Amino acid sequence: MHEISSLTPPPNVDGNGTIERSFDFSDSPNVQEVNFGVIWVDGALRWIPVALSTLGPTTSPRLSVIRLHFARSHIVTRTVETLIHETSYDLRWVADEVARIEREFKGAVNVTVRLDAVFEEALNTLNVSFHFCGVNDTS
Amino acid sequence: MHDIRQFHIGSACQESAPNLHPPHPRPAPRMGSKPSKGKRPPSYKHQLRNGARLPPIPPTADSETSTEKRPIPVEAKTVVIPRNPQDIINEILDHLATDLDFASLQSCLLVSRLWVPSCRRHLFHTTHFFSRDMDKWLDTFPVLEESPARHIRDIRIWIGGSDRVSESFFKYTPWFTNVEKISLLGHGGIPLLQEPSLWKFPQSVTSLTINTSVVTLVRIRDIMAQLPNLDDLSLSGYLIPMDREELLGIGTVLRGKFGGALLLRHECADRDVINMLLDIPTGLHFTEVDIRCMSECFYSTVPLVEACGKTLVRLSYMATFFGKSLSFS
Repeated sequence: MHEISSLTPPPNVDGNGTIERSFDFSDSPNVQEVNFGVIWVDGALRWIPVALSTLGPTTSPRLSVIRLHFARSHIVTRTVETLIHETSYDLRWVADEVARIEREFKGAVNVTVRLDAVFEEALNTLNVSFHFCGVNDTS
Repeated sequence: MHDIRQFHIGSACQESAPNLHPPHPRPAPRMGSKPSKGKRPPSYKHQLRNGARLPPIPPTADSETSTEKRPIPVEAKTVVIPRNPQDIINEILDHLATDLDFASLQSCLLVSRLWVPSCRRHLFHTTHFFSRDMDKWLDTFPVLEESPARHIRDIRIWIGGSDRVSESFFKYTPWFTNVEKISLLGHGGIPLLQEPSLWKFPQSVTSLTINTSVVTLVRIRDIMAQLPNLDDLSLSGYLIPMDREELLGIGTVLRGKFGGALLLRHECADRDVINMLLDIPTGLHFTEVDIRCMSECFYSTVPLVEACGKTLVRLSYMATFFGKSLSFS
């Protein structure tokens, strides 16, 4: 099991610490439900942990549901090794953010993660798991 | 000839007795009734009074137990419906509508005149219009005030393909004065908007859904511009590319409320649509945003979500082909 990182900036973030633009919930005090899904072909998934990092009990006090859905595209299939190579950092970061949200909201947020077989295998290889939240295997 | 009235009077009224009252004129025979032929036979009552016996009833197999073959008195045929409170009746009809039991609702429609409004409210709540339906509607309900148009809340107009309604249909859409949701559906293009005066949508519409295979953003804008109370917007299907100069300031004429749900699917989640929404002078107040798009549109959708930031309650974002198409800083 990997250790929860200190949310250090990813390798491809520039020197100023700016990361790619993503959803920012710090100005959304009424948000209650967040659903993110990816039909993955290639590349990183950084927008998801970046968006999740803006959710907190002070900025989003009404948050109650987070659903994440990861699946590989059936149109252009890539290997698990490619998936691990390109998304390992982001998947770990997502797990970190989920753990942080669970901790800071003290269980008030119901987090559900749906994984297909490819993503589940990748997470097992990376030794990453989503603590405290339901994981639905859609394979 | 014996008058029936005399038998009711009894023996005091003989034929030789003086006629104290002038005879009543006989009523005219009803239409379709058999004409009387000759002298009327004496009734059973008269025969019994004279000591005669009735002819025996022919025995049947189950004559002692069955009463099915006996003539039913006229009074017994009248069904008396107990007068239940109308709100209870409406509650029962609401349950039928919840269960989508439209066959029962159609039967209930024929029970009582008091039940008609509630049944119509459910039966006509969601109405689809295909190519020839408007003619049928006009034939069935020639009088506007008597038509169930006011009961329609959700109207779905099929405007694409071979079975689409004609453009003249939109002359009649203001009839549906209480429509809340209007959907323009089907494969094929929306008819060219040559005469915008023909397109008149009810001002009561709060929800607009457009899902066609070919439509331009200007056409969508022109439809939205007629709906000042628009709350919910759902766009899917395909957009015809347009000259970018035509899209400058495209949303500045929109006056909707935009405080409900926004749903953008695939081709309609592109930069031009989002720019139109961001042009709206009154701002966006959507509480629910649901986007499914390709990853190329991701950075266009971010400002849209931010524009709804204060009111946003639910965000659903599904991205396909996410990855290297995004340029990381």
